[in-house]
Amino acid sequence: MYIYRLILFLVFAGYLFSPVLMDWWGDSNGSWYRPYLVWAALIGISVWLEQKRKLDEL
Amino acid sequence: MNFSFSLGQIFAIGVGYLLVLFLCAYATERRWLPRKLTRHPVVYVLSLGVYASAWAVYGSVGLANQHGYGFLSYYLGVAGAFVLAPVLLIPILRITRTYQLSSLADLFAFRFRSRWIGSLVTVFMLMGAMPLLALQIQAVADSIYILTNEASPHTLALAFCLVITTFAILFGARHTSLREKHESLVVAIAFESIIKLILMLLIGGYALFEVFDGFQGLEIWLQDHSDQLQALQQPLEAGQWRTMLLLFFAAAVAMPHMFHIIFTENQSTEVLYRATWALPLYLLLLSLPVPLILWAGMAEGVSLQPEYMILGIGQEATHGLIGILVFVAGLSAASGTIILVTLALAAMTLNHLVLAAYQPGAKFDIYNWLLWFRRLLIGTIIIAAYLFYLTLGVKHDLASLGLTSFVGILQFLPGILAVLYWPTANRIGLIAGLCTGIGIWIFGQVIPLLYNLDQIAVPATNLVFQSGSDGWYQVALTSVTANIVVFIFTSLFIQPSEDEKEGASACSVDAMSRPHRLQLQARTCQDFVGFLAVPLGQNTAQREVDSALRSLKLSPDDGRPYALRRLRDRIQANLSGLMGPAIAQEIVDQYLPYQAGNSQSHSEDIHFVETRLENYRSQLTGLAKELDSLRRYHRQTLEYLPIGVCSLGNDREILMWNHAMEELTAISSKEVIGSRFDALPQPWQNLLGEFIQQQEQAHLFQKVIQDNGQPRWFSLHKAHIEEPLSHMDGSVILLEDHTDTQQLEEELVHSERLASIGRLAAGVAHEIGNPITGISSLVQNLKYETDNPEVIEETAEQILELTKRVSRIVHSLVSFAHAGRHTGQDQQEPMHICAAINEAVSLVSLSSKGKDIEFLNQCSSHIQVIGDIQKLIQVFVNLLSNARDASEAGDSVTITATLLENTVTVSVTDRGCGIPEAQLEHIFEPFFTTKEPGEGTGLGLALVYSIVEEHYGQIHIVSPADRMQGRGTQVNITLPLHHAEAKSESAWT
Repeated sequence: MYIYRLILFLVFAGYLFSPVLMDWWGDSNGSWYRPYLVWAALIGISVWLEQKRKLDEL
Repeated sequence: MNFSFSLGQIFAIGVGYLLVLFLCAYATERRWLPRKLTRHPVVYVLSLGVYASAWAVYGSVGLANQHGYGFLSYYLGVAGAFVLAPVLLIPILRITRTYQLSSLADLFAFRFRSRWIGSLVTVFMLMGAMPLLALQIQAVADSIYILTNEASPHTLALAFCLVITTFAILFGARHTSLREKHESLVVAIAFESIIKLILMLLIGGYALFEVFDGFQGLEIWLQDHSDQLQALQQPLEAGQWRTMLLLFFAAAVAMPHMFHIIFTENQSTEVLYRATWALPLYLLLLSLPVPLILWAGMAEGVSLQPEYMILGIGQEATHGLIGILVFVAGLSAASGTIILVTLALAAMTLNHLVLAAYQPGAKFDIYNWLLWFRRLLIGTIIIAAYLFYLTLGVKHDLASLGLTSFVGILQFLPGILAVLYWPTANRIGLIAGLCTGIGIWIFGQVIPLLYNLDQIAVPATNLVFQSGSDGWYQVALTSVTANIVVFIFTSLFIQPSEDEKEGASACSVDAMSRPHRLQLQARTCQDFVGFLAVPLGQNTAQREVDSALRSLKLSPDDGRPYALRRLRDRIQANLSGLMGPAIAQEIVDQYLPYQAGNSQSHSEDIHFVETRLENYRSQLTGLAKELDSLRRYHRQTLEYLPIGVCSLGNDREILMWNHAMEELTAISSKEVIGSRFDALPQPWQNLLGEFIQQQEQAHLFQKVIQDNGQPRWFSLHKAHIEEPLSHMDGSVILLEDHTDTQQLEEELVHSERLASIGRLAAGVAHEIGNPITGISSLVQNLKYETDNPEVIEETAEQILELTKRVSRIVHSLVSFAHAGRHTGQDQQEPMHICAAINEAVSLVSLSSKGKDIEFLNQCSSHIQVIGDIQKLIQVFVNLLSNARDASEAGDSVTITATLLENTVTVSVTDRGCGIPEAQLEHIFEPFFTTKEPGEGTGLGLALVYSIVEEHYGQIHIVSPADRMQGRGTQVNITLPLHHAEAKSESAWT
């Protein structure tokens, strides 16, 4: 459950700071697919957390 | 744009696609598709893709054109909700599965214990979903119109609505099994999601590789049109971005179709965990083509509105095909959303509006009635959505419609979070907050939408709500903030009712429901059928009870109060799935009531609470986990205690029956836990029942019972459990089995008795020998003196007397030898202590050693004790033998009795050499003897001690008895007096 509190914190922090993230991926020097890379990284973290949860509950 | 499609062709393609979809569902239902495939987690995850409605196909492109990367909020909001699944979705899933709740209205009505909440939420949900349904209808109608340029969009929309109504009924309301999961629907929606994804990727691929000639071409085009890239990258205003994320986050759980697919159609918690990353991945793939499609449309100079630009991309030769692909993708998204939203809303309306106003009663087949009403509602809702669409006209873009819907749905988010994390929230607060939020939403967004107003001023304030692309943001923030503030303050100032607290504890993440142990009026499962037949009819009642029994794996003969309470809960949950929680609650409260004036109304159902704790173990963390480990440790200690433990509630319901108890009684804990004490089989009911009734007696030693014809000895102990804070009063009983010890003791007594007889043998032979010699002499005399009849008569008398003496000796010996073998019956009864002593004296006197010792029995012949006379004879034989052995020839052994109020003390005093002080403390130990080898077994006094204790007496040895001379031993045995006699003999002392 601790790890879920961490997710809660991270998602809330992500929500608050997401406009900054938008500024970053809106940087004209960056690639157009930059937001998708961030998103893919988020999915990667979710997969990792899911694997970790499975191991914890074994 | 000119497309070369006729209306007939598009209609055929649309209906053909829907038929394929139906075929997919039908194949699942008929089990033509392997269950391994249809129940695969991927199917469930794909079905969650229903979230991507026509907005995802058309609206996203328009939103990307308007807000740049802001369009991603539609996908990221819902992805955020799924990343938070362990703290948001999983707890809701737990509640909905436990209590069979199938909609948000069910959840709120259950948590806040109010049918009005259910009705209000349903009405608001219908209002909130209408713009979303209108969006789907408009998207499909517009796309058909663009592709065919035939008929008016309104007519096309009506045709689409009629077709989709038919399919919605076919998918979700074809059978009477209204409550069960629609596996076929899930498979069909998953199929739709695959079609959507494939088509979007194909269109995106076409845009990339055909329109831009690959990545390099795209980069060159973007460099040439840097303004287009900058427009996409233009960041959305921070507040708007956050609000948009919040809207779509809320939609993931509050939208009726999302709630239905996430919770009602869920197969397992594990699958939902998998969706935490799989759904965001699906949405990423679905959103990836959006900017490409937008740029392709721009590159090709498509003249359509941005949201329908996707229909126009492609060269002359191919754009017809692309148009068809887009149409199918849009139809797929829109039909899936409409079908699911309508099914969910129809169920909510039926449960919370129709059934709240009218219930069909027992004369109808309730399943059929519900089915037909649901079909009617599906049609009504789709027609209502069409009328809403007609009222709006085609003057609004898809984004405005969608955002209006999402802002309305956002108003449910505070309530959802309160269900999980705020136990003191109450129904008045929720209603006040919802009404405030929805009121502002209607005023600020719905009215301007309906009347096409640019802005609307709030009366008596300076506040002006703008409509259009910026207005939604202002209305969303104002309405949800007002909603939250009113909700919190009203809840803080009004205390929740008791039933609301119960609802809160059932739903709260950190709390657990602690149901009370109440006695139901129904005593058997058949009573349940009888009681439920009144509102539901005999057949429905029987079906519901059978179904609940099956799911609980209970026998129809199980009459345990615990089982009946679980049956009631299950029936309530099942009826809740059928008719909504409010109606279900009313039916069980009215027809399956608890007994009135139940004094145990506050006793908690410990066994149930424990069972649930066991199930939720993996969810406990921190201190709760530590405490649970401690609880388990103590529980296991009791379970594995080698003494039988049985704990009873204050209503005499059995709460614990440990392993030792199972072994002792051969009754499994599963059979008795949760049952009334009176339901225990004999002889256990009598044994434990009589002991419990003896209020003042905390211990009962050596109680003998007949178990299957065999005698068994038990010691019982009990204690009262007082726990006023948690209302867990009751009692605990310990049961010790002494059968083995008792049997060993019996054997020991018998052995000792035989040993005593052995020691007496020589004396007996001598005793018998004397009269035999006498008889022999007398008979010889008779031989010679046959004349005198008087002599003959006198001799015969003497022979007779001597024979009687022999007979008496033999009788004493035989009865001593044979007595004492246990018969299983309690042989303790009132007996004269003096008689027992006399019998012992005569036995001991048989011994040759006893010849010179005088035994003086000074006890009153009236004193009575409760006891086994044979065992007490054994006691005195042993004591007198010891006294005789210690005495010298010519000594006397005195036996006296001192009477007290409730006891009598019998003292056996000799004038022998006494017992050394060092040996006194070992004197009662088995095999301890001071006699020569072969003289004594060392068991005599140990046996005396055991018998005296068995008679609830005490034994005490004083040596030397005569302190002046330092000689003699006195053995004092105190026994309980037989009280009736004691009163009549009180003058004796």
